[in-house]
Amino acid sequence: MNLGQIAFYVLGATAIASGIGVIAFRNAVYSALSLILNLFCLALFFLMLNAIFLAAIQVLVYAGAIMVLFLFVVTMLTPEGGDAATVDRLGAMQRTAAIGLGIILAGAFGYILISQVRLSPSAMATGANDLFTVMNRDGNTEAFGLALFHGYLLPFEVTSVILVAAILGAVVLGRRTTSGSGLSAGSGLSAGSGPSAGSGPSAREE
Amino acid sequence: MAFTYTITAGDWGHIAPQLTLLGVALLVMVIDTMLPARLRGGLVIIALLGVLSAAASALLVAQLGGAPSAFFGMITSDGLAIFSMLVILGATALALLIAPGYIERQGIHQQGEYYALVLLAATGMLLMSTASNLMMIFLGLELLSLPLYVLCAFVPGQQIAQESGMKYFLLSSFASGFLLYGMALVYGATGATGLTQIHAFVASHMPLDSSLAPLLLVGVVLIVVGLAFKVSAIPFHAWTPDVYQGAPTPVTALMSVGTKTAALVALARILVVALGPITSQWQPLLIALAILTMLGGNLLAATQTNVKRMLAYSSIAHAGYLLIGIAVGTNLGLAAMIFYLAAYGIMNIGAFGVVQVIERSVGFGTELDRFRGLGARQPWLAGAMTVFLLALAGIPGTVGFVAKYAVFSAAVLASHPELTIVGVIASMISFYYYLRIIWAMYFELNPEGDPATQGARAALGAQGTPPLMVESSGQSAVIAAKSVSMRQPIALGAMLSLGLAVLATIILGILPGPLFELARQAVGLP
Amino acid sequence: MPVPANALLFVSAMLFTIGVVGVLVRRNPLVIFMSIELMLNAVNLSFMTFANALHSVDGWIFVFLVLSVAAAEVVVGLAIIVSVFRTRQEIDVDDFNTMKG
Repeated sequence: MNLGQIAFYVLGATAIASGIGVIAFRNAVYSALSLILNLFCLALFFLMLNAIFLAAIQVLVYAGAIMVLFLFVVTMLTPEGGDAATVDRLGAMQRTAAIGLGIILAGAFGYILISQVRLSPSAMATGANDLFTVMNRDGNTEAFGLALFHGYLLPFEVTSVILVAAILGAVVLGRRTTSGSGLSAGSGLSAGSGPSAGSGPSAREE
Repeated sequence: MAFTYTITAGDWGHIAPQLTLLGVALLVMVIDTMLPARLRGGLVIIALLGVLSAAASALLVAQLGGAPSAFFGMITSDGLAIFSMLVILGATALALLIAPGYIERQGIHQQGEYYALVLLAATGMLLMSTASNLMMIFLGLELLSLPLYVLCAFVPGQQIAQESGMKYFLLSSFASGFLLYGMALVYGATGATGLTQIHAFVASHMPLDSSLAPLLLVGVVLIVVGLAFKVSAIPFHAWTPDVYQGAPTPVTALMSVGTKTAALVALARILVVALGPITSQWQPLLIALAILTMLGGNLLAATQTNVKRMLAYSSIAHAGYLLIGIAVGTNLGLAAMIFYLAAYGIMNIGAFGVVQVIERSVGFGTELDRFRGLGARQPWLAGAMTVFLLALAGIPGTVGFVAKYAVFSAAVLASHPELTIVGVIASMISFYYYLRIIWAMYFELNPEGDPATQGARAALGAQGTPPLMVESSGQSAVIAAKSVSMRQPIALGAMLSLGLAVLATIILGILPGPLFELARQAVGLP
Repeated sequence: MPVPANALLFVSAMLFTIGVVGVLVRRNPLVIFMSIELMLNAVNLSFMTFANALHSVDGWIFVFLVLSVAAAEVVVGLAIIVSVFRTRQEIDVDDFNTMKG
C-alpha cells in the first residue's frame, strides 16, 4: 500500500463522512461547512485524475462563490438568537422509510459498481478523442481549452445564455421584494431581526 | 476531432430559430428599459413577431436541408426537430397571446422581464428538442427550467405563487440530479455523449454482455426517471397539480405543452433513436409508466373540484397517452406522438386560455362553481371551452380524437394491444370529468348571481372595464376580485388565441390528413 | 498514480445516495438544496472518473457545464427561497399546504 493509495482512502472516507454531515447536522450552518469540506475532497480527487483546471474551478466556483452565497442566505434567514436549525418535523416512519430506501439504493449502486462493472475497452475507441495524447502534447489545461472552443463550443455558449437567464430571474425576484407591495416587503425585511423572531417559527418550540 | 473541429457559418445557420428567439428575448429586455410604463404592453407584439420569425427560420432551415447535424453533432435539424420546434413555437405564440390580459389583471409590473423569460424558456425548449448530444439535452432542460422557476413565482405578494415556484425548483433540480447521474453512467458504459455514437456503440455490442449491461441499463433507468418527472408521468407527478395551480395561467399553458414536447422528444431521441437496438430492455418500463399515468391521471382528475387543478391532472393523463408513442418503439409511434403533441398543444392552451379569463387571482376563482351558468352569461366563451373539453376527451370531429386514434393504432400495429385497451378505458373515465364541466356550464344555475339578468348582458365583447382592470397592485387584486361581476371581459389577444385554437381544433379534427402526413415525413416514414 | 476507477465510482455512488436521502429526510429547503448540490457533485466525480478511464474529454466538458449550471441554479434557487421566506417568515416545506388535493 503506497502513499497514493492511503491518500485515496483517507480522502474517500472524508468525502463520505462530510457528505453524511451535510444531511445529518441539525444546524444549517454546519451542513454548509460540511458541504464545503466535501467539495474540497472532490477537488483533490479531480487533481488525482489529472484534471488540474477543473480542480481549480471546483474550488473557485463552489467553495468560493456558491457556498459563500449559501452561508450568507443561511445566516440571513436564521432568526437572531435562535439556533440555526429549522427543526425537522418528520414522522419516524417517513424517516425510516427514506433511510431504508437510501440503504437499498446504496447497496444496489455499490454492488453494481464494485463487482459488475468493467469499463469496456471498446468504449474508449467510441469517443474518438484520445485525451491523453493531446494532454501530453499540449498540456493539461490546453487540452481542455482546445476541446471547449472547438468541438464543444455550442454547449459553452449555451451556458452563457443560462447565466443570463439566471441573472434576469434573480433581478426579477430581488427587485420585487423592495418595490413590491408595501406590506409584504416591510414584514419581510424585519424577518431577520430580533423582534419578529419571537413571533416567528413555531418549529423551535417543539 | 474534438480538439480540432472548426465551427463554420453553416453551423450557426442550423440554430437560426434558437438564435432568433434568443436575440428577441434580449431585445425585449433592452426595449423594456427605454419604454415609458404605459407603452410596455406593446412588448408582447415584439415577442410575438420574434416567435413568428423563429418559426419562419425553422422552415427555412428545413428548406435548405444540408447536413443533418451541426456543432460537432450537438444539434440536429432533422424532420423531428423541425416539427417539434414548430409545435413549441406555436404553443409559445398562443401562450403569449393570452398573457397581456392576465398580466394587467394580476397587477404584474415587470412585463419586459416576463416576456424575456418566456422567450428564454422557449429557446431552451427548442434547444432540448433539437439536441443530439446528452450535454445539449441537459443544457436545454436547464435553460427551459430556470426561467420557468422564476415565472411560476412571478405574481408578487401571492403565497401560492411563491410556493409553486419553490416546489417546482426543488423537485425539478432533484430530478435533474437523477437525469445527470443516468447520463454519467451511460457515458461510462458507451464512452460517448453523442446520440449517434451511443447508437453505433450499442448496435455493435449486441447482445449486451454482463460487463456492459448493468451500467448502461441503470443509466437508462435513471434518465427515464429524470425525464418522466419533466413530462409529469406517474409516479413522478406529485409536483404538477400544485405548480400548475400556483403558476400564472399563461405560464401554466406554456409549461404544460412546451416542457412536455421538449422532454418527450428528447426521451424519444435517447430511447427510440439512440438505444433502438435494446428496445426490449427499456420497453417494459415505458409501458408500465404509460399505463400508470393514463389510469392514475384520469382517476385523480375525476376527484377535483378546481378546474385549473383538474386540467393539471388531465395533462398528466395526456402525458400517458403521449408515452405510448415512445413505448411502442416504432417510427409510426413517434409520428403519432408528435401529431398528438401538436393537437394537445392547441386544445390544452385553449382550455387554459378560458380558465385564464375566468380566474380571479392566482390559483383561486377557478372552482367548478364559477363555471356554472357560463353558457348563459358568456355563450362564446362557454362554446370555446366546450370545444376544447370535447377535444381533450377525444370526441370524434375534433383533433383530440384523431390524435388518440393515431396513438392507439400505432400501439396495435406494434402488437401492443394492451396499451390501446388501457388507453380506451382511461379515455372513458376522462369523459366523466370533462363532461361535468360542460354540464355545469349549460345546465346548472350560477349560485352567486341571477343568471337571467347576467345573461341579458352577456356578449363576447370586452366593453366596459370592471374594477379589476383598474386595480393594479397585487395586494388589492384579491379584494377587487370579490367586487367584480361574474362576467369577465376577454382581452383582444385572448380572443384571438381562443379563436385560432377553436378553428384549429375543428379543422384539424375534420381534415387531419396533411398534418399527419407531415408528422410521418418528420420521422422519415414514406 | 493510477486511481482505481471502481473505488471512485463507489464513492460517487455513496455521495449520490446520501444526497437523495437528504432530500427525502430534511424539511429545511436550504438543506434540501445543499443535498441536491451534493448529488450534482457526486455526478461530477463519476464523469471525471469515466473521462479518465476512457481517455475521453467529454466527461471533463460535462463537469464544466454542470458546474456553471449549478452556479446559475443556486442564484435562482436562493432568490426564490429568500422571497418565499419574506412572504412567509417561516421556511419548512411541511407548511406549504395552501394548495390541497
